[in-house]
Amino acid sequence: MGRTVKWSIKTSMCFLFGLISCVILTVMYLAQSINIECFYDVGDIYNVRKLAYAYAGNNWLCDSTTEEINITEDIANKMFAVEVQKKNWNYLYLDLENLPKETVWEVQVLNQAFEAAGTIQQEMRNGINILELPEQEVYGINFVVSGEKGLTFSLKKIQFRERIKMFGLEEFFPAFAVISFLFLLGCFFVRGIWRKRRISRGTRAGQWIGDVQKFYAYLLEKGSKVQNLFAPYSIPKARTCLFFLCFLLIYLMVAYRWRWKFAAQNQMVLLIGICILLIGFLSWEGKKPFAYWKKPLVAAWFALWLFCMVSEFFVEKTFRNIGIFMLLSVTPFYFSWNQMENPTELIRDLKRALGWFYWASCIFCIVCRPLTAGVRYMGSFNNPNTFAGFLATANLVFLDNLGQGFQKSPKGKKKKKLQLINGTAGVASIFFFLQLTQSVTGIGVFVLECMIFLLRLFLNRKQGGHGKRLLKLVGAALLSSVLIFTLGRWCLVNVANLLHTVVHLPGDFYQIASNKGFFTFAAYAANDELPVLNRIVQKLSGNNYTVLLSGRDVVWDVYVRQLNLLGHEKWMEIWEGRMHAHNNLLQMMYDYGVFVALPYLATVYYSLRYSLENFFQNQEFSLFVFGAVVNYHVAGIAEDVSSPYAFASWLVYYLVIGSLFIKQADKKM
Amino acid sequence: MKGEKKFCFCIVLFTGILISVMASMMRLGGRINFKEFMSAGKVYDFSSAVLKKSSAGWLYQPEEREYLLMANKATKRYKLNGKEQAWEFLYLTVDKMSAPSMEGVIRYYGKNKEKRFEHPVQISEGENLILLNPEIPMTHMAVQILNAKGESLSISSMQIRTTPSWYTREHFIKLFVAGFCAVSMLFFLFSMLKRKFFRKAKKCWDWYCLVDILQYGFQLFGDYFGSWIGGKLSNVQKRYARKFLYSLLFAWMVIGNVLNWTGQAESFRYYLAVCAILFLLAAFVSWEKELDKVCWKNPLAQSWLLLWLGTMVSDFFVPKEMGLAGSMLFFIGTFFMFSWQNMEYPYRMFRDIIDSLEIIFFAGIIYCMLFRTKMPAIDYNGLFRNPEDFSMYAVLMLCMFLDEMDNLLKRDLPEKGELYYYIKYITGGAAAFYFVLRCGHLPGLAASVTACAFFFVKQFKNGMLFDRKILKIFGHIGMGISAAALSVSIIHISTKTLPIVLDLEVTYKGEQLLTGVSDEVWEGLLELEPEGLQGVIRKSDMEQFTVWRNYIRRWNLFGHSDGMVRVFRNKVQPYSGYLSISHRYGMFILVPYATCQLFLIFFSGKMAYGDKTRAKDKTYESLTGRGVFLVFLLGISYVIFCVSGNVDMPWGHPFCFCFYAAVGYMGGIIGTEKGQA
Repeated sequence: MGRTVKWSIKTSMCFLFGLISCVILTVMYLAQSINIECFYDVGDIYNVRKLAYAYAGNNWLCDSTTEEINITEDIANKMFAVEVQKKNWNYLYLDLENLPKETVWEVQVLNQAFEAAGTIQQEMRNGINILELPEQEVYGINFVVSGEKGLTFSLKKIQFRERIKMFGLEEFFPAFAVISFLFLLGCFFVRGIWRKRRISRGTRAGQWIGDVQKFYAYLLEKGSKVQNLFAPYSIPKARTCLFFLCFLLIYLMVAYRWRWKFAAQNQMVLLIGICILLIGFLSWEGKKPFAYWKKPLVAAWFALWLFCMVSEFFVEKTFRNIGIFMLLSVTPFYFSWNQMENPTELIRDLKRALGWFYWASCIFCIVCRPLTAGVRYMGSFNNPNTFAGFLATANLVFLDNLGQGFQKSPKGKKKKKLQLINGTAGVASIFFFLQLTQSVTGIGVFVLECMIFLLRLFLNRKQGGHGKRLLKLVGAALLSSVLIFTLGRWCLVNVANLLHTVVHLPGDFYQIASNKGFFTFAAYAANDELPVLNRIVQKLSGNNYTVLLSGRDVVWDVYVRQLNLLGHEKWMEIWEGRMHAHNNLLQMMYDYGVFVALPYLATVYYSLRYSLENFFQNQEFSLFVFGAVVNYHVAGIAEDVSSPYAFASWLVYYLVIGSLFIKQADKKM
Repeated sequence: MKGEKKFCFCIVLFTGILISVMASMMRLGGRINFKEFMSAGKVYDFSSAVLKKSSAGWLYQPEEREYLLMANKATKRYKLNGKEQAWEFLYLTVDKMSAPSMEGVIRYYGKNKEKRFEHPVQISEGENLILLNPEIPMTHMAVQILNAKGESLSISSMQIRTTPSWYTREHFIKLFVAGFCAVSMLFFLFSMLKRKFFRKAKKCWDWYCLVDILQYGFQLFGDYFGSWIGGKLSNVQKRYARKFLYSLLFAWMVIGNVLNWTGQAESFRYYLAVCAILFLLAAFVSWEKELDKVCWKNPLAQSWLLLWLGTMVSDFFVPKEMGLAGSMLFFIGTFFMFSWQNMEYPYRMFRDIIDSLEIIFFAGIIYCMLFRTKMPAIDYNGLFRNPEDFSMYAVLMLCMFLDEMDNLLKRDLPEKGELYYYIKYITGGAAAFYFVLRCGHLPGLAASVTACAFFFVKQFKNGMLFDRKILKIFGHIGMGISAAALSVSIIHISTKTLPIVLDLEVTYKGEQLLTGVSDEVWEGLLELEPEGLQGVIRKSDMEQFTVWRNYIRRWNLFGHSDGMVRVFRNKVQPYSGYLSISHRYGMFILVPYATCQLFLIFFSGKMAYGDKTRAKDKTYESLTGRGVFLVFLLGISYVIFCVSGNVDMPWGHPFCFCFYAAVGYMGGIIGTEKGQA
């Protein structure tokens, strides 16, 4: 049975490898360029953002419901600026729809002063219109439509290109089919040879993991001398403090933008690495020299970070040393963890630290970060989405505590009550903050986590006293919600201003509530009672997925075009500045090369699978672990939480995943 | 223990000296600044070529070495550092002047040569400090002397700055002495306190446990791959494999140098990856048995570790374009040393390196004869892009052949084929020395002469020169000399004509053409063949001391991102290995760098000139101390190049590679001796 499962994962990986390779080869063939630094080597491409299409021009109006452009007078024009730094473009692609007839437009090429530096007269028709731009810097384009009063049409795409488009999907699929066939033939041939060699020489598979564990054991044995500095009962507290420090350092790296500064990033990463390693030293019991690590998750883990190290060797990265950090700090920590007699102690310490950090953040928010009406709340961070991500992660602590209350009875009535109050207050306050951030992703993850919690309640429904505990939970939750939504809101609005302790963080990103684009709408947004609902409704009622995804599809397009073998250093420039990929997988592939998808997806699969298995087995803290895994991967669908040293969800995920390296049953082997 | 004490003393002494220098520089700069000790701000030195250039009103007379002012408003314009910048201080040193003082005007010009400002000045003999207007930025400056037609003046130096210069030699020495005394007192106090708490501290922490962990990791890594690769090869196969790998590595280094892969950040990583792979393969191929820990508690090994750790610390704080060199040497280089020191007969690896060098050298000679022309009056670049690199390579080969000759004279080789070896080594050495001469590189010449001197001293010490046996092999030596003379003649003629005749001449992109001819010859050549001298740089224009001053001025704690400093508007190399490494990694890297060289020379010299050949058994390879004379010569040569050459290229030149390999080899010998002791 195990052999079959292992084989299917191998097959999936091989299939994925083949698919990626064939796509790369096809794209290279069609682009007639072998370029490992950019497989889709068709030159630079810049898409004018769709938001700009909706802005009115001179007698050029956009109907927000139909998204059609109406020309209201005989002379109408609309200017589109080139928002990226690159200004040397050779072609303009204009995709029009519903144009009733062919019309001649005047296309003015604008210079740095946004004056017309060149003019092109072009007959526009439905579909893609290609204009060859003059050899000069293009700062903007002005479309002038004359004598076409009443003309209506839809603007699908305005795209600047460095080179003319060489191929489309019609050419891609046949070429892909042929190349895939040839690739398959090649694979069968290689496989035949490989099988013969394997039979004749045998393999050394699995030996490497033993050697790695020996090294970790040696390192931890040497480092465990720090335990002499602590009394046995204070080691859990020391671990909690170290976890807290890790969260604090990650927070400082984001809030004070230290992760963007070379030396500061290195220093912080070193400190975090030392903290995690110290936790490993403190946890080392040294009873067994090996852990049963012969599992696909472990292999994928090592492959992933080795791949990242190789990529980082060849291509400088903005966020450095992730491979070394993971393999020399986090993995020894996992090894130490897996050796523990009671590994759940570590998760308890981690949860405690995260809980402390959350409450400290709450105090900081109340005292120093007041709520401003009409602006999405940023909390202790400088971006509402980052704060939302942190909240969704912290939520797991409280949900798990509440879930623990249903799993087993904690000692003493007082402790039960405290746990209940702590848990419900935590969850209620988190929801309160989340709706102020208006982060749809954050709220979505929160809802998902609550559903996991409810599932846990459902699984434990047959336990004694379940109904009573449930009633208590609901009561406490209602009471907490009322207090927090009333008193908490007042405190958040007024305390900081009364005490004059308002703190502004570097790079505070003020986003107007309800997705309005102009400051004049802030007044309207300020009156919105539940702006987040408006935001969600707006997204769902949009005609296309660009609105639904808030432009992420354009970002994803840009990133997919830039994929290569060894990754990139900096984020892509999209519109006004550099932006992350808004997707974990895409970000990893962009940063470390396209083939990192293989070990990364394997890690995703196994982390979800093992954590889910533990969850259904009702293991202690399994809700926390499963929730952390789900939080990371679900948030990572539409946000980038994989960029290192940034998010609490990133740290928590990569800390808890170590508990999945080994199963309880395996420990007995 | 004695060695460790010496090492500690050296470290403490050098560190104390550097701390005193740092403190003195900070005092001169007026503030505590670890990013640039001297806080000199922007400084632009005018080159001597510019200070000797004539203008309409200023006529330079080379014989008198002074300007003759031709008009009552004699103007001389100067282009500054190329950037529009506001300056505050102009230091003008006038050696001699026909009048007691001269009235003048300083004019400020912008990018488009428009006049922006002017103010009167008075210039007298000696150092003139002229205060400039810090509000007005300028790209050009003009000095106009008024009412001094027929007068003369000689300007020896000119410097423009944004901050004042407080440096004088006497001032610096006073500060340094005071600083050194203070630092010494502090160290003394510290050592007194340390003795009191030392025993307690030792229980908690032993720094060597980090080395222990590192070695353990190397053991596992080396055993895993070594057993897979080297474990399946016989000794003969291993030797051929090593020779092949090293030949490939040295060829790769030459190619990388020629194509300037080591000078560009984009290509450097790929280049380094190949070097690392070859290096690692050589280590894996040499695997003989399960690796054991080796004793690295010796000054050389500790200097090595400190040196590359220091580079890693610098890379940690300061981003660099090519910031992997140090880390790679720390991990891969140290692993290589570890594997080497685990060999039963480490000399085998050494021998294979030498053999590979020979192969590449003789192939290189043929390449030079066919493809690389020696142009008249221009220093010969040979295989490389500049004469300095070729000179270093030639010195390396010369040292190698001298060592081979030394071994030959000690009669350690079997009788059969002895004549062949005499001819080979003497010819090789002569060819190498010939190339050193053709390069015209002074440090190379000095290193060659020094190496030869040490060789003769050694033969004299060993009594070889007066040994009766020398008469018996006189014939062999004579044959060798004859062959050498013939070969060198052929090389000489070939390099002058063959590439042109066969139309195979190869020139490299960005090749440096240097000439050291005198001014008269240069003027003459300019008249005869102006096109042929396009791009040729005169050595006299290089102004090494000015370059050194600029580098020292930028000394700091953790080094700089940029590998080179701008002097005379261009980025120039420092022409000093010490300055190069200290500029990139911070001033304190000089401590392990210097101790590494010092101990290498000390231990190898002691062994080479002593009688430290202990044999495990009677075989040639087993003699501990085999090859130390070459190590000694390499150390001496490296120091000479460090003083006045751009030698700091650990991955970019066979000479530097061999130097660091020699450190590892010597570290192993010392470690073995300690173990045996």
